Amino acid sequence: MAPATDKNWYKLSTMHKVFAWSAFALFVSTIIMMVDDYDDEWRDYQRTGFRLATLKARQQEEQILKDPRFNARVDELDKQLGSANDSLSDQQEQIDVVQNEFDEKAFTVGVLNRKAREERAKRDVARANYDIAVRDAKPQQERDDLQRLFNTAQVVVGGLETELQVAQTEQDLAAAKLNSETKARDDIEAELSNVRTDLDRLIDIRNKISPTNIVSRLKRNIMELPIIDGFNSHIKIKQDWLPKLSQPLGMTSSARFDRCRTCHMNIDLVGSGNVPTFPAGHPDSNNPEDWVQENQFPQPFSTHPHPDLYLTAASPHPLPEFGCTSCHDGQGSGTSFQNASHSPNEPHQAHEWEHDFDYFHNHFWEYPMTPKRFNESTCLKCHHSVTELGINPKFGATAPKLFEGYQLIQKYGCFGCHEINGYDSGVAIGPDLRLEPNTEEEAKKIADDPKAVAGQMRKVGPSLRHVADKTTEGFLSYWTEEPKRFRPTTRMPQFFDLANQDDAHAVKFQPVELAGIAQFLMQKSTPVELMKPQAGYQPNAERGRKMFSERGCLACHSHVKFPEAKSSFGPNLSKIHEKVRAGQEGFGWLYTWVKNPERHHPRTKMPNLFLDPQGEGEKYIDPAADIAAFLLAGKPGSFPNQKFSGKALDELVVTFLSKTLTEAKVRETLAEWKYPVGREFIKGDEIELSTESGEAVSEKEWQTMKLNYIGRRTISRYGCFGCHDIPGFENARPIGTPLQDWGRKDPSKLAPEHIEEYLHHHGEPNGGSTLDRVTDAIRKASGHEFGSPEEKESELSAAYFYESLIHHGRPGFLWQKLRSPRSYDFRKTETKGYDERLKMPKFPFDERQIESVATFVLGLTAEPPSEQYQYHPTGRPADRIEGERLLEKYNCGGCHIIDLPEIQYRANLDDIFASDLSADEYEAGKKLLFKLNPVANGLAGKDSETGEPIVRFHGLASSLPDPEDDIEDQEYGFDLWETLDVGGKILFPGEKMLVPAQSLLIDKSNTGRGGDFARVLVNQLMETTTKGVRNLAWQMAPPPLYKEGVKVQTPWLYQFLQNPGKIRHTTVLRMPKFNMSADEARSLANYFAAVDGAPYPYQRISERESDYLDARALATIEQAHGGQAYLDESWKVLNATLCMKCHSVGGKQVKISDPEKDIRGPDLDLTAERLRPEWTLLWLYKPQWITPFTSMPAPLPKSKKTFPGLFKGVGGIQTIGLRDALMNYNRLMEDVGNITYPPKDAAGQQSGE
Amino acid sequence: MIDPHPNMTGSVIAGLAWLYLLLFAMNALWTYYSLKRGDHRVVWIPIFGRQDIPVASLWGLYATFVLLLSMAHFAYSGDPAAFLIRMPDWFKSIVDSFAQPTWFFGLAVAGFTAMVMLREWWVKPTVAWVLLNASLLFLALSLTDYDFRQIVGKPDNVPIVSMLFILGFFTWLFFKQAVENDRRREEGRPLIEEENSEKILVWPDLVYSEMLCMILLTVVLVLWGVALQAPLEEPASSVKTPNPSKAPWYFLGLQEMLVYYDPWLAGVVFPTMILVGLMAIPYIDFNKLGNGYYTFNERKFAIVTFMFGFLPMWVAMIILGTFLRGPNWNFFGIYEYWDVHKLEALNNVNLSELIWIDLLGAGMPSVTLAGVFPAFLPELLVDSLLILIRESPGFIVVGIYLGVGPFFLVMVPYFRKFFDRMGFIRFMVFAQLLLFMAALPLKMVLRWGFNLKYIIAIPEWFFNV
Repeated sequence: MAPATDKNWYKLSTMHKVFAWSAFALFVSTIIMMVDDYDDEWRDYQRTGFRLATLKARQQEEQILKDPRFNARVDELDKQLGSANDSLSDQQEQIDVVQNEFDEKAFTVGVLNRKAREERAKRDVARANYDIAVRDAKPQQERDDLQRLFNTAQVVVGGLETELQVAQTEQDLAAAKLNSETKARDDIEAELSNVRTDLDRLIDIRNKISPTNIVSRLKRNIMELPIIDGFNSHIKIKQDWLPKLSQPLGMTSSARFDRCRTCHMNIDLVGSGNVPTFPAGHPDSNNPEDWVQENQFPQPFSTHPHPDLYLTAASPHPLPEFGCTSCHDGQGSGTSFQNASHSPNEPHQAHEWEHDFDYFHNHFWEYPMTPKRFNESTCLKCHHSVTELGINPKFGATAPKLFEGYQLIQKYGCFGCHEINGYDSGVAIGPDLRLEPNTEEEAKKIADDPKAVAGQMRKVGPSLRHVADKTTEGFLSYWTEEPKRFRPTTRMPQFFDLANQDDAHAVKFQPVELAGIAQFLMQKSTPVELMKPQAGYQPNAERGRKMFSERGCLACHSHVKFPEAKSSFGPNLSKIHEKVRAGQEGFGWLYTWVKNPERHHPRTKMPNLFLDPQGEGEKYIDPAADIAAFLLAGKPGSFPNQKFSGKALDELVVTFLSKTLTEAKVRETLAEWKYPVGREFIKGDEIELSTESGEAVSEKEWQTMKLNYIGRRTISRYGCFGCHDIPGFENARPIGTPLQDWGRKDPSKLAPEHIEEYLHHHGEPNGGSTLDRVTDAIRKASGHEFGSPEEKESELSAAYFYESLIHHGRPGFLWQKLRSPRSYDFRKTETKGYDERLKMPKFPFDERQIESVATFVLGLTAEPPSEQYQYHPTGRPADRIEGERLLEKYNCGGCHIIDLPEIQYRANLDDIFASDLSADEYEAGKKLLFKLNPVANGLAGKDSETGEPIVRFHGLASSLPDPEDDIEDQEYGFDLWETLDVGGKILFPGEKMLVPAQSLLIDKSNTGRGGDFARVLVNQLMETTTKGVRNLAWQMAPPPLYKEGVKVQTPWLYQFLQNPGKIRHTTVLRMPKFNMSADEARSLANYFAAVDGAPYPYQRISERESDYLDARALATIEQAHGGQAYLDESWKVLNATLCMKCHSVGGKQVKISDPEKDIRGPDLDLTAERLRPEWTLLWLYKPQWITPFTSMPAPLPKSKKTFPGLFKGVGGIQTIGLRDALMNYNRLMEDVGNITYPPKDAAGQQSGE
Repeated sequence: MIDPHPNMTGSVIAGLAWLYLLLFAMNALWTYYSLKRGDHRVVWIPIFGRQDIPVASLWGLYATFVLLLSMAHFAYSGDPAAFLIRMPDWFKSIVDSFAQPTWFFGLAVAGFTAMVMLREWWVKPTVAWVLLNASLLFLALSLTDYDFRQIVGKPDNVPIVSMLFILGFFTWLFFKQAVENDRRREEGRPLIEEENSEKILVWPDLVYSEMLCMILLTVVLVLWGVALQAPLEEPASSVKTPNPSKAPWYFLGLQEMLVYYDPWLAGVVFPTMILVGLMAIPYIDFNKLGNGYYTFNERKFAIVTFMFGFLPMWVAMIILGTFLRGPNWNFFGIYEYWDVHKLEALNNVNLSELIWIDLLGAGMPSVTLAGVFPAFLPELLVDSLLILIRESPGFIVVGIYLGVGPFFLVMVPYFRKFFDRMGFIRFMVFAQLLLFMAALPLKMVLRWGFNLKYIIAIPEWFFNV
């Protein structure tokens, strides 16, 4: 080969050119890289955010500057300042002298200060040197020298400091002199700056963001430049670090970093009164200036819509502790729209986002943001008791959808099949919804295990242990096949005739299964000892009807004859006569059930209504019998047994048996009428195919056994025991997938099967295609073609779920599972065994309810954050939550009003007049009223659209508008139940509030809670009994439980709840006795006190203590004679002719002389244990302040000397005495006993009045 | 709107427009180049009959066609789903119906053979250009398929696509030079390398050009980094493995081996053999020809063997692993949806089962012979013996393959010459390496032909072959 030459291989000039170009390319690509790096969308958002802040500040500045009051005040102060300055200039000479003096002194102080500083430093060095010498153990001589040096320095310093002190004092004197000369001006200046605080603050903010100063502006602009912006620029990533709210990531978990505020920079900005500074909205314009004008800001510029609950320091979820993703999920570390894993609320929004933000679903992030519709789901992470999210005195219903889902699950008993275990080896991980232990052994086992927590839920269906007494086999199978056919309102789901039961197999086997269930239940049912009415008693159905409507049945049940009562707590009883056994058998059962439900089912929710017979002879009435007769009036139903062939039965037996036996053994079993395995070895349902004795059976018996086997097998398969107590299934476990961590279920583990194909052609209840429905919805959303917002909501909701489903998402899966549970078997039944088909029944949920249930289930993640974040309240909040659960459980609200309705209306404040004490009322009473019923703000805090103020109050309707009147004149009357402050005017409870019908804001009124039956009953009683007098009717109905906690003593309520005695004589029904445990009664008793802020569980009745009584005696020594005389005289007040007009008291039975006027009140011997002293006193001062509808008059009005002989007729003292006598009732009965006042004189005339 | 897997979208059409425009630019240049060369060709044109026309006019025609295609894509503004220029479904279903590892490997081997046999034809620039055009057109049309796009367009698969083209180019370059040199040798002319003295100056020729390459590569990497973001997937989790779980792309050949061999072989022994084998090549190679210049004919065996190991058995396996292995490591066609629900029957049997049960009709020795051993023997020994008896067919087969195989090779006349030149030890090492290399395709064939799982299957000792 040739040796190397000096010639270049490549032409050098070309190489230079290539080099030049490639160097240029490298330069360009570096620029591109930097631009790309700098081109983050959040920078634009922050720039816009800063611009908005400037605009907003300017707007607020303008508002302040436009405020005439502000301007007037500033002008005034300016003027004052001017004149102050003028007067100062008049005395300028004098001031100058003082000023000079001050300056001199100040100069001297300055000089001395400097000197002193120098000498102090020298002194300190000397001290340090000495200290070092001590530390280093220098010889004594050296230490002495050093100490001497220090002493010398210290002497100098000491001299200077004295001098300085003197000079300082002189300077202060001079300053004071100067100040006194200029004080007037200085005060005005201070006031002026005070007035201008808000304005100056705004100007400061604005100047910081967009400085007017050219240097500052330049600096700010420079700080935004690339690279320079890395050095603490104002445009930067904002990060919330939450080390204790860790983020689970695959195998590990790491601290949470939320950078959401990088774009959502205004999210926590609130003004005074927690008002969002940048209220969220959807302005049409793209121009930030318009947003400020409209005061509506789009994302990401808006403030959180609920600053009272979230982010602010005073809220329960402050930003630095909770961040954003702990509630919203999403990828907190992401700083782009995409990386943050935003989730669209429906497909249409997804399409918009795709267009606007290049949105795509990042399925690699396991915690995408919860779409808006499921925002509430994540509350469950910390709020395991849920109730506080639905009922909350401070914040209202903060998660209503989640709460609805929770209630639905409780109501429909999902947990019967799907365990929702709130504990993982004793550690709380989420809401706990599990069945209570079924047997005593199980309960004991759990109680003995410190890590186990027993479930609390009762099975939601009725017990089937004695079902044979109640109904027939034919009805059982008729009912089971499709419960809604018999009772459209039933909560029992449908198991049969569903989407995967329309083929030949199902048509053949289903009747066998139904017959099997019915026969099994009848055969295993054990009889109950039924009760009978008195021999010869003729039940009266018409009277029964009245009893049914008055004795409280309608609080839980509905009946076609009473359309106004709509309670769905218990079943609709309209067709019960068809259902129960015909004739005496059915009557006996119903009579027993109505009279004593516990006999049938010891854990029933149906209470004992005290329907005991009453009256004698001709007037003897047995209400239970009458009600049973009323309910059974009508033809008994006829429900023939299911028809099926013996062949089908055998085939089904073979299908089931082949799971446990070989084919040969199955054949043998059927041929020999005997199960081939010994009874002691059978663990499953096959037990039904073997006999105790093991001997051969007759053919008929064998048929029965086979059908029993099918019945038992079917019950096992469908898990009927999840809702019903069924003999033989005491130890059965729930059959469904546990749900406690379903919200995080790996979507790849869901089996959507052929659902997409199903929804393509079927899917809608009307047989239509879901795909068509959804396509249509998205088309309409693009064109804004929806008829109503509700339609839009429901259709786009369906579209969301559909899209979720075809992308194998959890929400979609759940949606379809609840809509049509068996549709997942579409085209799968062909390749599945009959017994492998899906079993989930169809519940009567509408799509909105499904969404609520989904919200709850998706929140079940079993990923509790660290303990400090979980809401495990103690004390009052805990008792409140437990009480709410019990109110729900026992349907207390069926009868009682628990929360009074809140009425809102547009008011003319001039028409509202403050209440005044009348001549009859006491000042002390008013004070007590304010204490027990604290003044509430009657102004809703915002104005109506037409600009009138909105007034809100709690009360009950007392009169309805007359439809005959002109629409302008129609008005509602309400009794005010609370103490109300309407713009400074105080209204006492019991005031009549007249609300023009047109001003009533129906949509903003909160209808309160509970008392539906009471209202129905009141209306009925007004017609039948009280001749239209509403107040009397209310007295006959269950009382509202308003301020019950302030009223009754907790220990009494505890006893009363467990065994309620008769209190009121006016009511047409009695408080029933519920199947309540002592724990539950205690919790419920505590609840009322907890809600009303009253002390509990024990109350001290100091009115019985000698200290109190002595003090009272002393205070009334002028009116009575002190000592025992106080109580004695009080006892006389109580026993005087007044109270006994209506109450039994002091051993004397009440005799109502005028039934029109005097209404019998509760016996007063109960009061001491039942009522709280303060409440009692207020009641005696003015009963209408507490219960506006009561007939009780204020007994001892101020203006009237009722008993001049007692306490010298001073009503106020008498009233307190009355209360004290009531509180010391037992003692006085013992000590003084039955007395009469005024004592009867010889002529039988009463004296004293 | 609801279709979650749209074949055509607006952005796909726009992207393809640019791709076709690029293709047009390439072919415009090519036309210019062809015009400058001034080649003519006789073609038969309807009406005009046989005509001698410049080749450049044909290329011009083709370039125009591509330009029109590009314009059609640019101009289209209707519903993307209705766009007509797309890969026809019948073609897709034909391609997908051949989606079997057997077909893939067979075609890879056939392609490899054709590449070697037809080397003189395909190294011609025009042929190579036509092949490049065909592959780009195929790519462009295939991109109209959603599933193809999902696989090819994954940011971490893009380098593999470009690797295919780069690999093609360098293979072509090698063959072109080798064919040219071989021809020169035949004609007695000096080799290219001799004609152009390769001795050049370090500066500026070497260092300068290396610096230029460095700069340009940096540019490419920077722009690539800006344009295609690194794909982030889910956080690693021990409870949830991604499906499919794939090794880094350069190890996908090894992962494919795992389908046929136990991990200790596919993951430990074979990679070691590959490395050792590559290191051993200089010591085994006795052919002194081909040093310092390109040739094929003078080193046929070495080149074919190496290329077989590299192309069909390494690169093709990477392609297979990247593009064709989907969920559950199932094989998917390039236009096929990666359906997690697709199932394949995996009824593979071990050699011992084939012999004892199917061939001899007896049970497994562990059952049938369990009673034969005297009771005083320790249980462990009996169990071990039973296992060894059970697997004896496998041991015999492997023993024959590795023990007798090399001697068998010596008897083949072609290798006889090798043996003579190399001597016993060198040949034995060579033969073992060759046999190990052949073990993979052999096992593949056995798996496909006989559902053979393992030749020796001793899961008790974690020893499977």
